[in-house]
Amino acid sequence: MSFRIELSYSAGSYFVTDYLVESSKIPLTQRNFDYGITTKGFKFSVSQNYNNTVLDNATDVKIYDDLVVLFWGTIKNRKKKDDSFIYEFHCFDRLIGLDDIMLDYETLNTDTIALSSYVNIDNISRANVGFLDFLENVVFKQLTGATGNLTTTAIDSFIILQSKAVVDDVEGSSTENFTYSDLRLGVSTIWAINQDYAISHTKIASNDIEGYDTLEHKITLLDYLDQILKLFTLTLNFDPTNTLATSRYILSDAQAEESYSVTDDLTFKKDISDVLATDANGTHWELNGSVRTNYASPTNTNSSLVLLEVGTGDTKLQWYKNMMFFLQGKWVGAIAGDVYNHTSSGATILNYATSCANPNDNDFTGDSLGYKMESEVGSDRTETTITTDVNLAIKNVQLRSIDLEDNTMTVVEVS
Amino acid sequence: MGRTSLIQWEAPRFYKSSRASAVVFTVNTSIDNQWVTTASPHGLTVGDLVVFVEDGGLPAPLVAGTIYSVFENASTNNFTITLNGADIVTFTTNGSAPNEYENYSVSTILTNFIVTADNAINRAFWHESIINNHREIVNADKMHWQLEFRLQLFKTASVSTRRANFDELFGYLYSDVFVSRFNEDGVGSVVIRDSLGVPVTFVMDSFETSFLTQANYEDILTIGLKSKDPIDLSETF
Repeated sequence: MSFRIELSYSAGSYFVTDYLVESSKIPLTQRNFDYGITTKGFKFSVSQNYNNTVLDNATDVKIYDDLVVLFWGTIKNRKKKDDSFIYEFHCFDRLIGLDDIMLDYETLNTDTIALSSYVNIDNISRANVGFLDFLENVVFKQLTGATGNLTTTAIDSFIILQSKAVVDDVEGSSTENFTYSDLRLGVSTIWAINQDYAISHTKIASNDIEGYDTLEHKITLLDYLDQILKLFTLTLNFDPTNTLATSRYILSDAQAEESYSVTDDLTFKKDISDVLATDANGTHWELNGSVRTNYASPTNTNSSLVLLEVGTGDTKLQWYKNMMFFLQGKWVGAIAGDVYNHTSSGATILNYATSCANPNDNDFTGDSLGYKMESEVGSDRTETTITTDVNLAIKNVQLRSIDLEDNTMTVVEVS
Repeated sequence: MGRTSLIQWEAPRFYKSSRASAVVFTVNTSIDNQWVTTASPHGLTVGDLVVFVEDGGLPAPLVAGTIYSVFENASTNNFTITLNGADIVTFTTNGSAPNEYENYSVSTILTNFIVTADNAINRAFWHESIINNHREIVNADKMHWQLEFRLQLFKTASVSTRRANFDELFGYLYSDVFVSRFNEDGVGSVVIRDSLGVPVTFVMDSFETSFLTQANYEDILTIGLKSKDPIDLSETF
């Protein structure tokens, strides 16, 4: 390993490796127990012998292994300590910058309608975009300043839903597979996420519904990403192929756990603990949505939402109101952007079943989204913490952090 | 401060920060352009600290509020002053009456002493990179200064004098103290100043007695002082 640390701000980038006096562990991969996002960073101290102008103005910190970027943080707090002649910094994962960006029409529409997957008028006469395209080239563009900084190839073809034979199945097969690439978003519905009503972006901006504040209900891109990772049980990592010139993130399927086997002589510390299920009876989602036309009308003021509950447990997991997914049509003659119809009960993925021959969730033999989550959180698991040599290849775990001083890595995996 | 080892530690004197009542003075450059003249005997001795208070208009180049040292006790009613212990302040104007000065009235002169410390408190230390073990020496420009004296009280003739001397010095414990001593030429006594010319305020923070032999009551008093503010060593004193 050849670790390096770099500080940067508008004036340039500066390696301060020689001057790094102390540092807490660097979190390379981190997620919550429920697969939600965390933006923890680390604290570090740099000797005042280094150029104080850089130390006074640095906004970003990167940890490298030679030329490969392992961590990119945003400096949120600095303290100049004259008694010990150091600067103390506290940085957070750069993803925290998403918490400053709103998921709204004003911020994101220009980038959204510029997407290659954007369809202005689909088969239901509404605009929609590809989900992964939106995530990669709208959400992460706001963070990194450029498109193409999220790699989704690890999940593109991952089958998340599988239908049983339906009347309009065009491939003549008994089942139809739906992958992440088949997920699409109704553009008008995106801006209404977390609103209590199915309303347009114009109505949200005017904020003139009596007794209700539309602006307060807006969520940030960090909220959105957190929900996505939980919903699909995904792990977000800094792409290990990053070099000095790039800064990509990579999405992978968290349920494809890597078992991190370490021989005893390389296991410096190992802790095993049981993690009890959050709810012995499992969990369920509450889904809220409405017909897509309600999100497009600027005059529509009070379109109530329809509630769908999925799952059997007592613990309700948050699903933002109006957050809906559509499935790319698979029928004969369907073109990119054609989606399955919705019903008045909400246009979620689960409504695909409703729109098919048998309006029953059981039409899907694969994991439905709610079931997928329930199976993870609603069962007891074992959490294993291992401290060992640094191995940067391992990534699909709950936490991995490196200790620059001891040159060791701590891995937390759940099985 | 970096050259203090060159300065003679002769007749060092401690001054408390309290001052006596203001005394009216005049300057008459036609008689002597270095004399500060008082109507009554000034009672000052060489090394005493005085601060001038502007009222009518101070003679140039006096600066109100600056601490000067008495350079020589020219006569009962005249004295000269200095900032650096070597150069006597020469007046270019008489100023406009009335003008006053205040002297630091509580002082003690040390006798029978050994200087055991007259140095910066070392603050240099290493920083070492946790990644590659590169080392950087950290040398703080601004350091505190410390003084330590071992006073051989037993050499004073009478027990009562020793005791009075002991009590007098004890009165400085934890007090702000200016320290005067003769300059490197041994000509005039001058207060210790920092690189900006501001007198250094010390605090007496240790006061310990010890004995050479119990039988002869040859007691030694060790007193220590430290500067209140860091002293910039990047400039010469």
